Amino acid sequence: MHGHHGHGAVAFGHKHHHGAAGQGVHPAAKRIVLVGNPNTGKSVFFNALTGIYVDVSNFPGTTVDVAQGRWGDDLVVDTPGIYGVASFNDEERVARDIILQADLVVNIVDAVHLERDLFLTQQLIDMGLPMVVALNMMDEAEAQGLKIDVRLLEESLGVPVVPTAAVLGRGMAELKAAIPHARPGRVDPTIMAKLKEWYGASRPSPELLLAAEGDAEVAARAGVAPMGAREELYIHRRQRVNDLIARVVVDTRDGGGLAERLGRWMVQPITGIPILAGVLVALYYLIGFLVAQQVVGFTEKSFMKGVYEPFIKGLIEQIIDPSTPLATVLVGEFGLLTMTITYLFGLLLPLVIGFYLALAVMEDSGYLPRLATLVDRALTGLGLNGRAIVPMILGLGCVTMATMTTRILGSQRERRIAVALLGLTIPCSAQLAVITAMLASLGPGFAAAYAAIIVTILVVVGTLLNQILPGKSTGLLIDLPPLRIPRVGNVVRKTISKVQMFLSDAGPLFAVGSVLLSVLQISGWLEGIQTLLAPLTVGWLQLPKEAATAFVMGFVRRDYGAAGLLSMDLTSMQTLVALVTVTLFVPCIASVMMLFKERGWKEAVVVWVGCLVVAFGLGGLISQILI
Amino acid sequence: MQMVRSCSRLTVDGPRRDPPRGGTTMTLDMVRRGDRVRILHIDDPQVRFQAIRFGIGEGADVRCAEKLPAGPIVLRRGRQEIAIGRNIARSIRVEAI
Repeated sequence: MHGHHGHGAVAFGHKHHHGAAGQGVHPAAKRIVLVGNPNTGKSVFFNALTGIYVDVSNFPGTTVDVAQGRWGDDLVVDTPGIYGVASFNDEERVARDIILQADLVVNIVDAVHLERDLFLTQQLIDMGLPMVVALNMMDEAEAQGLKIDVRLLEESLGVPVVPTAAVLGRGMAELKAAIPHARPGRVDPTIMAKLKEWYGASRPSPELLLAAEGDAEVAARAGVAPMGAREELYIHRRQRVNDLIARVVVDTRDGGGLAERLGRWMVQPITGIPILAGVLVALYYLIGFLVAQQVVGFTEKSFMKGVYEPFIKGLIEQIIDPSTPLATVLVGEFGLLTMTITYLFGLLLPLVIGFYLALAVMEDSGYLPRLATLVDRALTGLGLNGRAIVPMILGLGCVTMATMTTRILGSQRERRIAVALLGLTIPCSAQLAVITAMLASLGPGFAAAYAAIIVTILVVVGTLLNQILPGKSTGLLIDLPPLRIPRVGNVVRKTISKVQMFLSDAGPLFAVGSVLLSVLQISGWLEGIQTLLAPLTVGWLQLPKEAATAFVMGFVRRDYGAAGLLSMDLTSMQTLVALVTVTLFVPCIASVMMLFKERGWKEAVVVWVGCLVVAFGLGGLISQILI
Repeated sequence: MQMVRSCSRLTVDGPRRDPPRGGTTMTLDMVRRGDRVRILHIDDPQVRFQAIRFGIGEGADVRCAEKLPAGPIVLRRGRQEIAIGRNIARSIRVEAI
């Protein structure tokens, strides 16, 4: 699942001699690697060169996707946004390995943030790689009163520098024209002298530089000893960059624009919490009301159940005897062609689109890192830092994806806490869809009660884990990119790619789940399990016997659990109990698989069993109190 | 306690000089919004490396652009804004400028 999320570098092999692979690549073809800090508009360059979609993430540290495409005969490879080449996290390791195989680097820098971006630029230059710099967002720099001496910058770096405004399409032709003129820049003489002293290097080398900066992995590959000189070299490079900026940049104004003020309001609790509340209300309106009720009302009820299902049922039953098991599997209650298709396309697809659209806007605008800053204090109490808001929000989309994203967290301890909270308390978009639809019919009082119960459990469990688990969690250290109006193209493309990912991930699991349920139904086991669970569902949770089916389905796919409840005749209180139980209940099979993969079987079993115990324990407790 | 520790060290010029406005050393969590400070020392090596990349490493002059109650501190240098969690801020020594 999420196969393309894997480290792209693996697919590229480790040899420099790509021509030898003989896959129709022109012998003179070059490997052009795009490198830049997060939020520099790198994806726009990739698209302009290759015309192929790339997933763009505005939030530092969430994309490990690597895209590649062709520009003429040359191969263009994108890298995750990074602040420097090292191995501090997954993104950096992925980017580092791609950069080490580059024939030529196009370094995209944000003209408004040269202090930050030129550190990476100088590091790439110190590697001795042939390079072109795209000085992007020049329009914005000018609008903000920054004057940049491009010619002096070019001369000082020693590589071609092309001013661009990629979103407006400005400078792209010039950049394309400059790429063939890429050349190694001016390596810092002190650093070059060190490489010579330590390794006897006569020319700059990417591997030796990284080895000197203490990267043991690269050093081992190059067969040299790593040096502990990272700090010394970093400080030296930083000084060089600062001196350079002092010469080439004149700041005629010190910010203070509307975007900057709005950015401040987003992080300061007094204004940030109302803004967050506004965002959540907008999200609820978009997903909970507009999509879950209006759109789904049409796609699921009117179209899928009203038109599609009778049609396909009639068609199949003409060919296959309706009383045969095969007919049940295909068009029965849990039919592959009926329930699976209806749920997947009628119910989930519109919701998933709505959800990812909203997330893409939040990412692309720069709101997400500010949200991380705002919630940092609250998450610190749970043993997490503000960055954990990313997996938490992604968890509202897909817990499987979120579980994978916990890798961005700084320590094993944080990952452990985040994974447990995701499995237990965060309803995924598929589940959330059904939950919001059901809550919407109950009214705001019940919705508030449901939210209060889930949030309380999240806080209590997180606080407990933070107290119990040994070790220390890492703190927040995050770049706040400038607020920008989200680009429609980016948002749409990102949404499409995420939705495709969801369908290819969820589709097969849905099908397997449906067949499994049909088999259980035909064999009579479903009733058996229901009877077996009856004391629990009827006695303890005080729900109808059929609710057991919903829970069994929850194993197959989390949202089946919630969706199964939708068709049941429940009182308001029963609905609340059922929704709480099914939310806390075990994650879907895909996320359980991811749980085992990421955390190992021991921890995964603990989380799994823990979810079951808490779900039924608390669900029953609430039921006993309320009903 | 933090303050005592940080004040007793690093008063560069001579013993027991009454701290004037500039040159007062403290930990970063003690700065107020609008204060300008110079980063003197960062304990955690990982934080130190990342701070150098962001341009707010040891020796950098920064301004506290925002301070959330019991929460992160937003530092600004040029156009660059970095949010730093309160726990990390406690381990960063700064000097008022």
